[in-house]
Amino acid sequence: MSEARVVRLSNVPKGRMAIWLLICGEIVIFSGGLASYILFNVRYPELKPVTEILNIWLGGINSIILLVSSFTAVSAHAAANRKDSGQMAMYTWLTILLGIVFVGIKAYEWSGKLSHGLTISSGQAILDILGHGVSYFSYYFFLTGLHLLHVVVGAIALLISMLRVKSSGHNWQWVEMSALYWCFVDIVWIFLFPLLYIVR
Amino acid sequence: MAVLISHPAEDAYKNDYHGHPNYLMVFIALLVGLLVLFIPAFAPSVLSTGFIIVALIVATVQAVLVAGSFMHVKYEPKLLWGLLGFGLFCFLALFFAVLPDVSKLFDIDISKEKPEYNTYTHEKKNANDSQSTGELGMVRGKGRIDVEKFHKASGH
Repeated sequence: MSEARVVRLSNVPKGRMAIWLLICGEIVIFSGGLASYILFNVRYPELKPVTEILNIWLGGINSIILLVSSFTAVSAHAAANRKDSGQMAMYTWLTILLGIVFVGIKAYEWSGKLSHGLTISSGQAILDILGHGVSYFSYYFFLTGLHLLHVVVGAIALLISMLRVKSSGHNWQWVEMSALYWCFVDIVWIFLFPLLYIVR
Repeated sequence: MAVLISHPAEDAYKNDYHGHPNYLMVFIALLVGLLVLFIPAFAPSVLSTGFIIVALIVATVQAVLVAGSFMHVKYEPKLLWGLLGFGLFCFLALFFAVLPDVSKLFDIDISKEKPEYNTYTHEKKNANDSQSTGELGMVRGKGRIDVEKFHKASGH
């Protein structure tokens, strides 16, 4: 009986490859949502004034928060490469804290809109404001809500990987994989911010 | 039968480390890009199609910086680049495949047209019927459906 041939598909470690495969799947999901939103704007350019309801300052602050958190996440990864658990934990906690701040600001934004009756299906509300019945906010809440979910999952992943590494002293690559996912979440917001808050 | 090799996890990562770029410089570059996007907040008059294109270009550059430097894509093998290219391809394919259906550039205004026959059913048209609808009540080029006619024709 012949032996199985071993074939190396790639030099990328399997954990990192798994995270990249996950990220590629997420790219397909978000690209569908973003393409749909852009096409919606192409079809109904008269709805652009609706975006003036959005607060560009809050969106900008969220952008700064995510950029800083990406920096702290990769700093945590660099510390993990040096096997420096103290710095790794500090940067990871900073990243998680910034993620919590992001969630808080997003919740504040949403509460403002919900209190004015602007929901995911608020066609009537838009009709009253502008005379158009098409629900712009279905896109807004879907895109930002999906992104928010990824921020929460990313923060949990960072927390678990940091605690795991600190307790066991092994599996330092978990920090890298969590940081990769977090940077992807930042990239999504890099596109969401101009498309939602700037293009008006 | 081919089998993927699996290394002991930490050995794979120990032999794989390739250094990293200056994260601080990349972060500063990202902040500069963000400042450009903030310009409409101070000067709303700059908002135009040209600025929107600039904003999207800045966002793309920021994404490339984060992916290349923070996520170390520039150190990864071509297989990974191919995976990311697939994701980008999905976006472009969805966008350009649907664009002709939603863009008003492709709308045909048939209110002034009076073709000899209905292009859907190939029936001779009524001369007074300026905006003909097909069997299923579809108005050509407008993407709208006469719902009542649709339901009658489809038997619902």
